[in-house]
This record gives sequence, structure tokens and C-alpha cells, in this order.
Amino acid sequence: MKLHQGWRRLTPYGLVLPSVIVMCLIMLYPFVKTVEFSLRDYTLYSSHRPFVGLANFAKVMKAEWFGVVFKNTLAWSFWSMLFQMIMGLSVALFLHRPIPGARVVRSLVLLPWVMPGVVVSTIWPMLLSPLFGPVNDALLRLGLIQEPITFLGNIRTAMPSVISANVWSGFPFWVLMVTAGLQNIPDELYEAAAIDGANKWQQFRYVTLPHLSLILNITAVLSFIWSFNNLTLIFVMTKGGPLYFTRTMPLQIYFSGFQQHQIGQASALAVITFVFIAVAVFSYLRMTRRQEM
Amino acid sequence: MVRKGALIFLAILMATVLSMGALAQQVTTINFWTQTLDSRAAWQPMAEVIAEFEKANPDIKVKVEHIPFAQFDSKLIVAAEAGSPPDISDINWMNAKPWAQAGYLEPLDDYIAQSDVVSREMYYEAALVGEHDGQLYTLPQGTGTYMMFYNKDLFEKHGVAIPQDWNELVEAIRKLYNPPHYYGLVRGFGDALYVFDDFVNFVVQNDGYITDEAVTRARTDEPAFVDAFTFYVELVTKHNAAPPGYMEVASAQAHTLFAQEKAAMLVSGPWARGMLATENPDLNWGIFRIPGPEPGKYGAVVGGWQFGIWKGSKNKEAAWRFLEFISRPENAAKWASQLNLPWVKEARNYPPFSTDSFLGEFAEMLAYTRFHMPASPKIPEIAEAIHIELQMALLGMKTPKQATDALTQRINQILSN
Repeated sequence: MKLHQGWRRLTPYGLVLPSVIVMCLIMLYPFVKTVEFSLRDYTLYSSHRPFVGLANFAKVMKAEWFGVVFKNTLAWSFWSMLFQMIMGLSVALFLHRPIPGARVVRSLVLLPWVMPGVVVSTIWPMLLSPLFGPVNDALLRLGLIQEPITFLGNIRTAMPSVISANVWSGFPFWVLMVTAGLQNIPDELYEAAAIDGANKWQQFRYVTLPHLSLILNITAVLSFIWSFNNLTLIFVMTKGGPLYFTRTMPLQIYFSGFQQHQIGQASALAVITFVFIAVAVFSYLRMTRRQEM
Repeated sequence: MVRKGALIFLAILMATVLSMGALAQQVTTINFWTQTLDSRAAWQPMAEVIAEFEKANPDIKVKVEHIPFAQFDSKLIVAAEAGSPPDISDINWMNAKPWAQAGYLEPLDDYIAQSDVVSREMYYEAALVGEHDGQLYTLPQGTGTYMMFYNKDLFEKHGVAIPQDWNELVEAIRKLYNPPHYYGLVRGFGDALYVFDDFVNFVVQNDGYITDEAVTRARTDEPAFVDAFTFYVELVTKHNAAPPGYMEVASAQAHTLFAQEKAAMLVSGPWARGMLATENPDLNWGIFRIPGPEPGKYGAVVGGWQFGIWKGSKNKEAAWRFLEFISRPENAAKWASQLNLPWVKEARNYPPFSTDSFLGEFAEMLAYTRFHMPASPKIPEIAEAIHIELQMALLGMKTPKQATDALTQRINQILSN
């Protein structure tokens, strides 16, 4: 009888064991390997890969580009997330009203999000091209500029340009999430607020926002992480240039690992990135949870 | 009776299945990875050579995987590290020695010793870049080199003659400056390795060097290098050579700008012919040698591709037979015909090199060429350092002299690590 009960207790663990093993193989193994590589002098020019402790970390953190690249990554992720949120929230609120064709527009709005990153990053340089781009053409015709702007080749405009492409590509996800959140807010709350004399802004501030806060927090975290880890968009649009002005961590990891063949240093950068994101996201979630309590 | 019939049927079935299995076992499939895409015209002659090989060797089948250039090296490295490399692949000349050193490639000298076709002597000596510890790990395939492509109609319209030296090149650029319609010479700084080729052409013309022969010390502070650097930068900053947006233009876009008549000149290699034919078949273009600092003083870089058999290959013998077949002069000529110039000396005597004047001119240009610098694992880092300092000078953040001084410091630092 006791043996039978023991088996019954173990059965659930047995059932999840295969998934745990698969997860470990898929996620844990590459992670452990990356950490191991970061502690070795691992280049693709020598089969001898001695243990060097934290030397790779010291080397990349001392490199002239490290501070710039780190700052770029933060700016790129933060501004992308912020503008995606503003656009996503505005569009979702607008489409939530009973306007004709809202459903069709809502589906069309999703298009940039379902588009592959490579397509987005090919379209945008064409739009912004100083030679053929319609953006420059429009600005010239409107008399706002006298000469075409090299959006992606200018140190002042390159980062805002790639962020714009990222915002365009990512805001529909916010629309999707916020729309789902809005549909869960009971109409009675708005009616009650209206009876109490709340105007539209007050209804938004005291009814809509508190009900959306969980969704907004989760979407903000996801959006930040996705932008932080995004390689395709910048790689195709600017390759991190001009100079280091749009180079972000994932791009630097790619350059170090696959162009300069410094796998140890690339792994150290990957570990630093992972630790930073983990700490940032964990702190943010803790902070917002405390605020909610 | 029924049982006997069933047994006979089973026996026949088994014999058929087994013989089919045996037949299937006799065919070895080798995996060949190339960076030539099958959508390119250049692939056609290569595919013909492979078909001829399979016909002559019915026991070997070649399975080809086409990988875009931008991902080619990283895919090979990832596959090698994962223990599943191809049997044979293209190898970029810069990677030949480092990858041999890292133990990825199979040494070929034993195969060469037993071969009636392949010998070290059949190649231009400079092309044997896959040598490490006295062993050869890669066989030279082909190389590109650079010439100036020009728009004949625009030259005629502005009465521009073929420039013979740097001064005449500047003069031609000045005459062809016609914004926003077209500009003298397309430039592209969007890609470090593209800039590395484009820029070092001018360094070679001026007898400059990036490092010493042992790759221990930078030579980028020497006047020959500094003058070439200054001239290259001033082509854009002082003489308005390039269409706007040059800072973001990469190799493919540079060809597009030339094809669309936004620039009257383009520095490129034999591969440009196919690209221009696709992008603008009506373009009236020609080629001439990139003018040097003085008349008749030409120069350009070579590089190109090698073949290597991967150490993790399970079909090395079959891969070698394939490699041996491609290396026959007539096949080497055909293989390289649309993309490169073959490194096999005798291949020049076979069509299309013996009959095509465009390729013939490129082949003659080889007399004025050399590699960017001696093969070294540090090349990608050095190429990036050059790219950064060129951009600094182009953006006006440093003078050319300040940029070359900083470059010398950077390269020496890279070499000391």
C-alpha cells in the first residue's frame, strides 16, 4: 500500500521529466557551454584553449568600444520600447472605440509585426535613401530640407532611424496586447465613473490604466528584451555604423565571434548581456510588483 | 504448395531489396558548400563541371549547399564546431591558414603525392596561402582582382578620356560631378571587408604596406601608406567623388548605383559583369586599369577562394576525387569562368580565358597585383581598424594624418595581443 502511494507521488515528476530533460538540453547546455567558453582563451585559430579565468571579461570591458556599445544598446532598447508603447497604446485606444472598419484596420495594423525582420530592414533603408528614398523626396518637395539627409550614414540620425524602424515593426504587438487588456475592462466601470463626473482623461487615468498595468508591465519587459537581443534590424540596416554609432551588444558579439573569430571574448560579452538583462528585468518586475501591492 | 510459393516470393523480394541496398551503398554522397548562389549566372558553369564529374564518377554524387556570402564563414565554423562540417567547401583565402592552424582542415600533401593531376607547381606560388607547418591544407581555386568599370556614355557626354594617373582621375571626377543626377565614382563604406579591398588597391598602387612581412609591426605610418590614405579620403571629402549616402553603401548597392547611372565609375572585379547584366542590361560600360599615382603604375589586390576538405568529413577519398577533377586545367577554367580568374596557371589557355577579352584584360591585370598583407588571423581585426579610421577621416573627426597615426597605434596593439 505504501509502495503504491510512493509511486503515485512520483508519477507527476516522471511525467514532466522528459520535458525537463529536453529543456535542459536545449537551454541549459548551450548556456553552460557559453559560460565555459567565456573562461577560456578560445579563438578559431588554435585547437589549444587554455583556462584563463576572467581575462576575457577584463579584455572586453577595457576595449574602447565597450562603453559606447553598452550605451547604444540601452538607448536602442529603451527608446524602442517607449515609442512602441506610446504608439501601441494610442492605436489600441483609438481602435477600441466603435468606429466603422475598426476590425479591418486592427488586422492591417498587425502587418509590420508579422513581417520578417530582414524584410523590414530592407524596406527602411530604401525609404530613407538619400538618392531614391520617398522620405527625402517628400522633405525636399515640402521645402523642409535643401539637401537630402543621409539618415543611416550620419552619426546624429543613424540611431533614431534604426529605432524608428524598430518601433514601426514592434508597435503592433503592443496594439494586440493592449486591445486584449481593454476588452477585459467591464463597461460598468466607465459608466460608474461617468456618473461620478469623471471626464475622458480621468476615466483613462483611474479606470483604464490601472487595469492595463499588468499587461503594460509584461509587454514592456518583453519589448525591452526583444529589442536588446535584436540583431537582424541593425545588422542589415547599418552594420553598426557609422563608426560605432549604432553598434549594439548582439552585433558586437557577432563581430567578435564570427568576424574576428574570438569565441572566448564573444562568449564573455554574451554572459555579460545575459546577467545584465536578468538583473534589469528581475529588478523591474520586483519594483512594479511592490508598487501594485 | 501455397507455402512453397510464398517462400519463393519472399526470397525474390529479399534478394531485390538486398541488391537495391547494395547498389545504394555503392554511391557516396559528398556535401559541398559554396558561397556562389545558384541564382547567379556564375553558378551555371560550376554546375556543368559537377554534372561532368558525376557522369565520369557514377559512384559519387555531389550534394551542393549554397550559402550567402555574409553567412558563409559563420555557418562553416558552427558546423565544424558541432562536428558536422561539409566534406568539401569553398574557403575564403583569409581563413585558409587560420583554419588549418585550428585543425579544421585535412592536410592534402599525401593526396597530392599520389595524384597525377594535382601538384603544387601547377598553381601560382603566391596563391598557396593554405600552408601551415609545411603542409598544404587548401587548393587555390580562383581570385578576383579589381579594375575600373566606367559608363561609356557619360564619359563621352562630358568629353572625359580614360584617366592615366591619380591627377587625371580627380580631373575626370570633377567633370563627371553632376548632382543630383550622377557623380564621378561610387564609394561605399558600409562594410569593413569591402572597404578593405577597395582602399588597399590604392595602397598597393603606391607601394604601401599595412604590416611587415612577419606581421609583427604596422607600416601604416610610412609616407606611401599615408599618401594613399589621404588621396582615398580626399576623393570624397575634397573632390565630391561619391553620391550622397556613401557611408551606408555596401558592395551590392555600389554596383546598383553604377548600374542605375548614379555614378560614372565603379571599382570592381570580374563578378560585376553578371551583376550589371542583371541590373541594367542596356548599360554601355567598359573597363580600364585603376589609375595609379603615376602613369603606368598600376596596382590592385587579389584574394579569392580556395578549396578545402574538412577534417570531420566521412568521405575524404571521394571529396579528394572531386577536388582533383575540378583542378584539371580545363575544369578549373570553366569553374572560374564567370566569377574569378583561375589560380591554375595552365587554365589560362582554355576557354573562356583564351577567347574572352574582358577576362583576358583581368588576367593581364594579375601581373600588377598582390595580397593585402601576409595571411594572418588578425586580418579581420585590422580590416575593421582601417574601416574605423577611414570613417573618422571621412566624417572630419580626424585629419588623414591623425587617422593614420591612430591606425598605426591600433594595428600595433592588435598585433601585440
